Parts: sequence; C-alpha cells; structure tokens
Amino acid sequence: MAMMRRRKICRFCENKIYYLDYKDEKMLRRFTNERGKILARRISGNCAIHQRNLTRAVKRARVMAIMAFASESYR
Amino acid sequence: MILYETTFIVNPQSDDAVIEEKVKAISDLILANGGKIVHEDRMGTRRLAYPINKLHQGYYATFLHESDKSVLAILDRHMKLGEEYMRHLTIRFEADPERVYGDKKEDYRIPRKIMAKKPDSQSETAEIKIAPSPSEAAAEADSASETAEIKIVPAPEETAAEADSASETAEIKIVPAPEETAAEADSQNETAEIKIVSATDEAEAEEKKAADEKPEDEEL
Repeated sequence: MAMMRRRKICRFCENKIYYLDYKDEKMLRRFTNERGKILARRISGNCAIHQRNLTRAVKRARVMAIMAFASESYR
Repeated sequence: MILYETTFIVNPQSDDAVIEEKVKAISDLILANGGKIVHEDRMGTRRLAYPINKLHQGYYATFLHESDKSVLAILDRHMKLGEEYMRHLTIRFEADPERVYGDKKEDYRIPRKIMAKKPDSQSETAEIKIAPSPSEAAAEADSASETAEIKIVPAPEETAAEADSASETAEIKIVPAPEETAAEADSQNETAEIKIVSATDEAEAEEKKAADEKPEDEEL
C-alpha cells in the first residue's frame, strides 16, 4: 500500500554490526549529506546506539581528514 | 594491557624510505615499551578531505596494539615533536579485530532479504503441504481406495443437476477427504480390519458434511 510507510530498519542492526570503523569512508559517506553533515536518525533510520557510534566515527574521521568538516563545493 | 588503535598520517612528500622509517619508529616505540602489535594496516597515500599544512595528500598507517596506557603518552609526545607526522589519533579499540581487518570484515551493505524471503517460504511450505498429502493417501490407498472410489461417485450424483460449477467443487473436495481419512487411519493402524469399515463409515459421514457445505460455498 502506498499510504503505509514502511518502518525504517537500522542497517547496522540488520547486519549485526556493532563497531563502526571511522576509517571506512565509504560507509560514513552513506550517512552524511553532500556537505558532510551527519544525517538525522529520522532520515537514516539508525537506532540510537548505532547513531551514536556513527556520530563518533564521523567525528574521528574528520579529525583524521578522512571526512570533511564542511564541504567546499557548496553553491 | 588494553587494545588500542593508533592511526597517523605521515607527510607523503618525503622519500619512501623516510616514510617507512617514521612508520617503523612508531612500531618500535610500542614494542620497546612492552606493547604487542596485533595488526598493522597501511592505507597508503590518499587524498585528504581538507588540506593540512597546505598538503593535500597524506600517508596513512594504522597499528592495532595491545599496550599499557603509559605507552600512549610516549607515542603522543613522539608524534607531536616529529614534524613528518601530520595527524595522529589513538583510540581504545572495543571491537573484534577480525571483524574490522580480518576475513570476517563486516559489511552493512548486505541486501535486505527479509521482505523477499517471506512469500517464498510460505509458498514452499504450502507446496510441501500439498505434495505429501496425495502420496500419503496413495501409500495408504489400499485401505482408503475403497472409500476414495465411493466418494467420487455420490458427489456428481447429488450435484448432477447443478452441472459444471458443482462438479468443480466436488473435484476439489476429493483431495482433502482422503487426507482426513488417512490421518484417522494412522491412529487406527493397530486394528487394521476394523479400520476399513470405520473409515468408510466416517468417509460417508464426511461426504454428507461436505455435501451440506457445498451449497454454502456456492452461495458465497
């Protein structure tokens, strides 16, 4: 049914991942927008635990220049 | 001894030998202070997300090591003083190394199969249910064949006037009837001779029931 919105499932819970590596840029990019901002839980569908882990990972990645603090390509 | 993960960026513009030396200096420091290197990972030269000291690339190396916490201060001091080190970060590693670096590397991109699986499993079980019932009926057909033959006969007779639609329902109902008789026959295995008689009686009773139910089905 078009009216029924499917409840988002936490991707990490689904695949039973509990540690998010901050060096995994590909993974982190999926959960940030083009500007490098972390996506909200209501958009990404992450559970609280994994959202917290993700946030930590993104912030570590920023320190290590794996992720950008703010994207330059903003118009 | 706690498991730590130390990652650092070395200036990639220096010679390969120098980079190697700087990386080795870290591992030597860990080992010299009673640490144990569990895993070494080189991401190599890669583009930085933002320039550091006007450099756009950096050489990444990671050591996963089991060390005393006193080692961290030594490493930190060493990398702060060394000009070739652009950045460094040590974290307490709270995961299974195998799942991050090993063959069991975790992947969050496994496709979602939950939605796709459900109908399959249902259809499979449905098929399984359908499949054995005739075979069981056939296996015990020796005792139930008589009842089965009888069943086919009366149903058309009763519904002969009502023609095609009734005959279809009659045909469909032939299938479940042997199942029921077979199931009852299973419970009555010990008394084999009596079974035939009782099974036929019960079968006839069921036929009557089925015949009673038929008009209701047609109404619906």
